[in-house]
Amino acid sequence: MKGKEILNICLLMIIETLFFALVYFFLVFERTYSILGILASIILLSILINKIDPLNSFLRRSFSRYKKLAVLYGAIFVVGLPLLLKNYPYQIFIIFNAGLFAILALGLNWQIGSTNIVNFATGASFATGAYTSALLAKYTGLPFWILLPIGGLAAAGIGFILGLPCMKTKTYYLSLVTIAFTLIVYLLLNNLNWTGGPDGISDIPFPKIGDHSFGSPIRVFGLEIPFQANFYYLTILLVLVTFIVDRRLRYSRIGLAWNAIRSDEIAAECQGIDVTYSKVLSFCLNFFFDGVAGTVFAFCMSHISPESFTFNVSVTVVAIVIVGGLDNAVGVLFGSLLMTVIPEKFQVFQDYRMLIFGLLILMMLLLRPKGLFPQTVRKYE
Amino acid sequence: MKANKLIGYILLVMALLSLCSSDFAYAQKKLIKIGFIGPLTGPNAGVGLGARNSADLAVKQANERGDFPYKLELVVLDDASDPTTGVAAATKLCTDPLVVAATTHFNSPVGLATIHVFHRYGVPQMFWGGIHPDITNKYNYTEVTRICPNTLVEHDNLARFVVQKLGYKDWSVIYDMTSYGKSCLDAVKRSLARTGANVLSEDGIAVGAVDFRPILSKIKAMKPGPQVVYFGGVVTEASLIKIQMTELGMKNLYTGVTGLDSETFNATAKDAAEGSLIVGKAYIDESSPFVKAYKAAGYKEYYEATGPYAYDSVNLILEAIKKVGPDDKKKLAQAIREIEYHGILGVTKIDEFGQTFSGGLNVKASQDKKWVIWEDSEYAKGKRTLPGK
Amino acid sequence: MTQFIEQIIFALMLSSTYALISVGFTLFFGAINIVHFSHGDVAMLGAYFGIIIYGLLGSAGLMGHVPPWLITLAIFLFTFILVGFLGTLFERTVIKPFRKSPLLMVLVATIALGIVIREAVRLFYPQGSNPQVFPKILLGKHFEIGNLIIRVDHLLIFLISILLISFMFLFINRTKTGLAIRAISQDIEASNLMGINSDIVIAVTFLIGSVLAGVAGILIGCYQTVVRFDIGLMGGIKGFSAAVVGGLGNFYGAIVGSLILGFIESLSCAYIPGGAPYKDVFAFIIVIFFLVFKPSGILGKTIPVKI
Repeated sequence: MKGKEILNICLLMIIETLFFALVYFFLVFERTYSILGILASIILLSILINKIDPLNSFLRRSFSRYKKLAVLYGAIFVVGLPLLLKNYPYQIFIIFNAGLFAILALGLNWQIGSTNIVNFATGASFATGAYTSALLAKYTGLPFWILLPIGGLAAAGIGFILGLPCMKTKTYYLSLVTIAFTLIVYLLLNNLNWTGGPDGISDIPFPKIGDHSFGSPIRVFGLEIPFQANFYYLTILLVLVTFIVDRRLRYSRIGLAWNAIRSDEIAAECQGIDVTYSKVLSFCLNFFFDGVAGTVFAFCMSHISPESFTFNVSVTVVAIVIVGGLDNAVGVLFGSLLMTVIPEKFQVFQDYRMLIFGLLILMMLLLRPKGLFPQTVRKYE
Repeated sequence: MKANKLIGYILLVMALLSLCSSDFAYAQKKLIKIGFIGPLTGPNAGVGLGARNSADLAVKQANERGDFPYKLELVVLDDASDPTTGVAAATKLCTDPLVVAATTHFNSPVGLATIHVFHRYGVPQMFWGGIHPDITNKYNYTEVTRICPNTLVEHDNLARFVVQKLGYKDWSVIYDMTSYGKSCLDAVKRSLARTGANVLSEDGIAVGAVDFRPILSKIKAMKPGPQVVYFGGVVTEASLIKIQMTELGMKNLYTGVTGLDSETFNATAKDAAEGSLIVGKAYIDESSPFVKAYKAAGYKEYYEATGPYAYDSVNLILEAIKKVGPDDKKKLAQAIREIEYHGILGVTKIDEFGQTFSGGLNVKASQDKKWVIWEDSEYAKGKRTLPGK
Repeated sequence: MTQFIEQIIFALMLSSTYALISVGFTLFFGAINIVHFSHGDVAMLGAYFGIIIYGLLGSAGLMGHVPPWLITLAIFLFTFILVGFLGTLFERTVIKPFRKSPLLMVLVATIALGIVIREAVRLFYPQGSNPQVFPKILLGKHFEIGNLIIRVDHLLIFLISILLISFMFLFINRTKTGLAIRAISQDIEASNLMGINSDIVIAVTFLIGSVLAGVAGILIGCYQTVVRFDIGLMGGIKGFSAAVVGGLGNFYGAIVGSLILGFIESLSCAYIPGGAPYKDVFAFIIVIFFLVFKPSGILGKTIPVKI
């Protein structure tokens, strides 16, 4: 290997490490100035990378040439994160939450980003997965690993039911149907007795792998990692699966069909694309993953109530997709990290939390209206 | 481009600042932290902020008195009335080794999720709000205690007074579709059944609804009509219902429990509030040292009905710490359960489920836009008559 | 029988409160094809301004000296101006930058704006998180017809709503500015070519819509007696639903939609046993029903898609 190549690789590693370090410190720091400072550094770094051209092109080249190495390094960091955070279970919980939202957002991306269906019903699909698996766990005692796909399928079923009537409706009307649907689901969950009403469902057991319950800490190499890491790893695995599915879909006929529908629905139909099938499929796929995320959520919290499944959840996920970048999976991942971790860190500001959140969204939209990472246009080789 | 440069410089400075203020939360000087979790944002923010201020006052006063061998700090976290946020906050508190105990929550669903967290980490948790019986009775965790009365006790008091003492037997029940409202519904039906009263109608209202005229009109048209209209829910809806009842010319007695015990009820309903009857929380006199100190400290928000509970809970925890020291959390939880504390709520003793015995309940009547203790009111003395008969 | 008439009256009142807001939604959509999600919060601001101005007038010592109808008029007028100004400001800062961007941006931006407005009121208005009492600025008298109690202030609220909506209708259809608004809604580029300054016309559209919302806020305050910082959220969604059910962009549609929504909500409370907590569920199911079977709304034009 030539010396220059080694130098490039080292430089890449350093920049990646710097980025990971910033993320780590952002999670761990407590004081107001520290948090703001780290956030500022991250923003500064991103701007620098964008503006300074030699740096920009260097990074692009290195990433595409050494993709495997960079991804491997990233994977090591992601897997090792709980170890680094073993004294900070709260932070592991936050990242776990970010992971759940990443799954929700990646799924929604297929609808908003690829097919131009603005779906505000994520709260409902999330709830379906959670409540289905919780109720089944309570009344039939089925183990978590069976309930995981069942939760997803139940939500997909709801997606199918919602998707069919949406075929005839367009854009804003469609959004309204999804909003109304979310509100209806929330109200029903709150008012019906068999869903537990406002008290929700409690005593959902922790999942188990063999003897190891997810409620107990992980013991490895003589170190003890807090139990939240169990859920973190599960979620990371699911995020990976969702991401892979996203990649496969994008380069498949379905992905093409979705993009075609986004560009011009009538032309797509003329080309022989079954528009109804594609749209319903987008609903079902999106909702399936939402349901899976919901199941994981229910089993982590041990107790779910309708309050966790309001319209706000839908709004947050839509915001993540838009701020992160439509139809761009990596952008969406970053977006979910930002939008879930920041409100938690801003606890420091107590009552001003939501206001700052809203202003942040506005600012991001105004400064980068195309999203953090813009809508990708297909590359035709 | 100038604006961009400016922003760039500001960011640079902030980044440098962060390097200087390197911060690792655990490398600090020895002190004790008490956690506070409550809704600081969202629809119940008024209550949460009032409770936070009261807890803050208690900690401030303890630090000022200086009779405590440690420095105290109140760690305030927001649960936003959302269980997930509550669990995150609880996890954060429990994994901070300097946090000795916490006083928590207004919304029961949030509490039902976090008690498992506190139990897992063995950190004592005292509820200043959140009345759902399951919080203490279902799992009976040693760590979990509650200083505010639970809803079964409140409604028994109400039924005994209004049905048995005053003789109002026919009730219409309105309740809101929250955990609190439903607990009230179950409790009031139970208490009314025990005292031989009749429930003529039950109507749930949607969360956040403001127009109750259709329901009230329906109740008004019932023949025979009820003597009492009971509402299980919180202040806003309660005052609106009373206002709209007056608009419709309804002359029933209006009752509720501690959810209505707030001066906001009177301030909102104004003249319409006259003659309402509730079982209210401990009576805190305007001239009491707590109120004076609260006003002197200059908090923006009113302490609301739950403020005194938060205040006493912090002081109770401090008393327990004085007895057994802050280091052994198990001992602390035990000490909290065994203590007999004298505070602004009166005497607080904890029963075997972690629930306080009395919580200082009083029957109150709304007179001239203020809640007055029944015994002191003109209604008790016969100078004014309650509606409904 | 009396009870039934009473229920109808309540349903009408509810519908009129929705109508004022949904007309605004329809106006914005018809004119510049955007959905202004924080329109409901602008109405909330109207209500809060009403309270603030009432308080200011009171502390200026005018209460006993000036006839009450003048005070009421003053409140309306000042709120007009303030809310109109704010509404236009929001348009300039939050909506205009996204004119060339995908529709989603405006949607999310206005949702975020809604969050900011709500939180700002909650934080910066004294005791903001608590419900605020709206002052009694309309006549509190009532008269009775048989067993029926009719309140003068409710009657006034209803009449004012109808008047305002009629004014707006006349404005759009009979004045030059209204003509300009209709022109841009058809084809913005052609209007520019015709010499219409679309930028200013859009600003005027927002001015009108916001003023309407402001008045809606005051009227809702009078009717419901209390306002809270979050009434804008649900109110906005319901107003939007009403506009959509009736057909976005169609004026009469907004009114029809509001009537439908108001009646379903009100009557389901009263006549369906155990229905009260589900009133919103019924309303929204009907909304979905209409949208599925009549996708462009009841009175909306089925827009032929140009290939």
